[in-house]
This record gives sequence, C-alpha cells and structure tokens, in this order.
Amino acid sequence: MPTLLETQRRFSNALGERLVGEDRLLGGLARGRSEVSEHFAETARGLLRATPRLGADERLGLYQRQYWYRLLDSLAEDFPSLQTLLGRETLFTELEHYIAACPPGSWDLRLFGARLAAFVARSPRLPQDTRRLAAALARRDFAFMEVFDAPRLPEPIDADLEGAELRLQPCVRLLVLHAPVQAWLDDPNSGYAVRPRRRMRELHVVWRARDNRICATHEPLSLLPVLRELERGGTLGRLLGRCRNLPGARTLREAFMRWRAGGLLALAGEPSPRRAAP
Amino acid sequence: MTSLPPLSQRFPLTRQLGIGIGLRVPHYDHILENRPSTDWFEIIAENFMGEGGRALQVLEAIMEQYQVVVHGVGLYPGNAQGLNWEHLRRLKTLVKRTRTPWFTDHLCWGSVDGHHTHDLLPVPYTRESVLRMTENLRIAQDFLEIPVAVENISSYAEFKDNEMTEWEFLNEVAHSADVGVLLDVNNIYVSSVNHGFDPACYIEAVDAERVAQMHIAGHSRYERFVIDTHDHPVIDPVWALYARAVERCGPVATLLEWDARIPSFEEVWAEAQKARRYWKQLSASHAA
Repeated sequence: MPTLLETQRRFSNALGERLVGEDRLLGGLARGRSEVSEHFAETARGLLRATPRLGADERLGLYQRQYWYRLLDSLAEDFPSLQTLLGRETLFTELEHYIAACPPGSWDLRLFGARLAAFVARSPRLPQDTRRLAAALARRDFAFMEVFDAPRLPEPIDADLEGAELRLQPCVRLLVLHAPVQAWLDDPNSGYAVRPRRRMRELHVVWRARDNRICATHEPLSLLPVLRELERGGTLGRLLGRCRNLPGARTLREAFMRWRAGGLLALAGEPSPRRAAP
Repeated sequence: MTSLPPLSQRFPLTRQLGIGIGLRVPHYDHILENRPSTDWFEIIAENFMGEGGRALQVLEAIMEQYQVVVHGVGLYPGNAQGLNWEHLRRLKTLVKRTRTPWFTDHLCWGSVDGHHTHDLLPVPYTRESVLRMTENLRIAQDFLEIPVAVENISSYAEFKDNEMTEWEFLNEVAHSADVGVLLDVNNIYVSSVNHGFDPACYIEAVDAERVAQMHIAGHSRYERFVIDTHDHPVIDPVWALYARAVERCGPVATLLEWDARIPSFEEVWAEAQKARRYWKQLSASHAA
C-alpha cells in the first residue's frame, strides 16, 4: 500500500495534468465521458475504485476538471484587462500554460496571478508586439488584487502636511509600465497601443480608497521620485530633500493635494507588513 | 498543550445558537441596512484573513449585532506533510478578532509539496490517515485555543486502499483527536449517490455526542453523479436525513450553505428557517 504522502503526490500530479480534448476550456461537467490521457487513466486505476456508475478515471477526472476550471475562472476574473486585450480564447490558452508552469503555491487564490505578468512577457505564443502591453496590463490587473485587502493606516487629514511624518498607504502600488497602457485604456481598439516604442515608461498608481473602491490613475513620470520617497516615509522636507530632479512647486503642491484627497497618504510610524507574493 | 473542558461542555452555545446562514458578499448591503433577524452568521475564514479592505469592515459591523462562527476551507488536516503555519497564524488572528465560539474545517487534504489544489480532497480511510489527521487536528485545536469541529466532505472518489467506511473514519478521527463533528447532511447525501451507500446508515452510525453543528445545502444532479454546488434549495431527501440527524443529535446549531447563484437574502433565510420545523417536531415528540 502506498503511503499517504505518495498517494497525495500522485493525486496532486494527476490534477495538474493539462486537460485534453477540444472542449477542455469550455467549462462545465455535464457532458459525457471526458477525454483523458492514458497516463492519467492509469493513475486513476491505481488509486481509486471504479463502479458500474463511474469509472476510476471519470472520478479522478471530476476533481481534475474542477481544479482547472476553478483556476482558469479565477484568473480570468482577476485579469479583465488582459482578457480584453487578448480575447477569451487566447487568454485561456495562455492561462492553461501558466497554470501548468506555475501551479498555485499559496492558500490565498488572489495571489495566484502574481507571476502572470512575467509569464506573458516571455510567452512564445503571443506576437512580440503584444507581449509588452500584455505584461503591463497583467501587472496593473494584479495590483488590483494586491491592494484589495491590504491595510490602511490613519491619514494626515488634520495634520500639517509640512510637519507630519508621511508615507504612502500600504494599500497603494506604484507601477512603472513599459507599454502605452494609458492609450490602450483610453481606446482598447487602437492599433497604436500595441506598437512597441523603445524605452517607453508610464507611471500608474493603483490603490484602495477610504470607501474601499479600487482606484487607478496615470501620473506624470516626473513624480515617480517623490512617490518612491513617500514609500520610504519621512517628513515632507526630508523626503523632498532626498529627491533629485524635483518637478516644479506648483506640480508638487497639486500632486500632494490630489494624493491627500484620494486617500493615498498615511501618517508614518506604524509598521505595515506587506503580504509576500508566493 | 492547552487543556480543553470535556467535549460535552465545549460547545455550550450549540443548542442556543439556532439557525444561521453563510455571510456572502451579495448580501452585505442588505444586512448592514436592514439588520435582519437571522440567528447567526458563518464566515469563510480565508475570505477574512487579509489585513484590511471591505470584508473586514463589514465583519466588524456584523459582529456588533450577530454571533459569528468561523468556518475554514484551507486547514487541510489530512495533509501528509502537516499544517501550514502561516495559514494557521492568520487563522488565529481571525479567531481572536471574531471571538468565534468554535472553529470548523473539513476532513480532507488539499496541498502537497507546496502545490495548493484549492479543493477539499478525500483521504484514503486508512490507519495512517487517522494518525495524520489526528495529529494535525490536535495541533490546530491546541494552537487556536478554541474547540474545533471537523466536517465530513462530499466526495466523488473512493480509494482502493480504504480500510474502513467514511463514517467509521470520521468517528475514529473525532475521537482520537478529541474534536467535535460538523455533520454536513447534504454532503452525506451527495457522497451516498456517488458511492452507492445508504445515507441513513451514516446518520445512524455517527457519534451523536460529538455533533456540534450541522450543515444543510443544495446540490446539482448530473446524469451519473451529484456535485456539491451549494446553488439550489435543499431537496426533500436531504431534509429527511436532517430530520433523523436532529432526532439523534438534538437541535444543534444549523447552517444553510448557499454559495453560487445566490438569491436574495430573504430567499436564503426562508430556506434556512425550514430547519426549524424539524426542531419543532422533535420538541413535540419529546412532549408527547
């Protein structure tokens, strides 16, 4: 008799085998007998009892299909921009490869897409022109997941901005994206959007607001050093003193007013551990 | 090791709690605005283990008025490689935050070698599985410092190596780990169809003294199998099993699970309240 650990490894490896058959990405369990590989069927016969009602491979196949559908649906829901860019069929093919290459490593399903941006950036199945935008959109989509249940610290609502120890809220993500994301968001049908431009960089900020809405904005790149220093925290004087190439005073003042109104700023002093990606 | 009171005293609220339903996102606004008169809410632990966000805000507001019981889907006490301590630590934070009277999770495994399946998978019903499950449940109960009850799962597969029935396995684990049982009557029905056993035998065999809570739910019937989808009302054969379970175990805290294609709060609550008629029948038979 195999040990419990051996049994679980065989079961887990079988679930991770990619589904076969034309209908594999359509979802649903109601169709007739599903196609399975001979290796899968052999594993099932080795582990499970068959009955006249259901064969061992069908029984293991129910778990396998539920595993794949759960992960595919979850990722597709978590990466809506990527789905709009690639279309459902191309996205699901990409996700299939992702699930096989990077199976879930955390109990938190929201973290499962953490490596998808890097994965699509290298995908040989996507046209080279599309990869960079796909990776940027995937990174932006995943930031929505990251801030969803990140903590919020007290805000400097009444405090004097010039005297207080400030920092960015832990539920803020700064994204430097190497693709024309904003142009694509403004018009996803724009052919211009997927045309690569060398050294292109855009600064996007994603955060969870006071009322728990997830917000995203496109900021001028000139503000990146200030936002990076805000991540480190400090008084306004100190953190601006650490920045090189500060933007003009008016731009800075308006940015801080915008960030304070949007709830991006926090009073520093309380540690806020970020959840590690798997 | 923390010393727990005898099992009979460990779930004192179970006969006072009444009927509950799962706290689900589509009902948040209705509950916060209308404060309906449900007895209690069950929350899925893993949905509230973050450090912020709306879910925790809603939970704080709900806890001002309702008893909340924490139900996990990620403890995986059947894992051969043991428990995930990061998960357990976050779970304990939630347990303390909610002051849940007990914690429930499933008689299953779900991850190996760092691969998380996000499913509730059956273990072979063997001596080795009893020992592993016992050790993990004892660790969890000791670490969480509250009573733990373990739930029978619905399943689609039986292992060739099984050395006992599922109900024998459940009783043995509950006894040796010294935990309560969350008896899911719908899961018994689903597994009975998929494996061809008599669900009434299961109800008769379960250690009634250990049953601390019950679950009822709907499911989806396909041509040759049944899937535990929690997306329909409870069917009559499941209510019949529930009636017998109430006769054997008493009117313990009962919860209706409805997790997909979720209808209005009123509809879910009306379905859950049907459980009361079996409690009344029990009272009437005792009075007679």
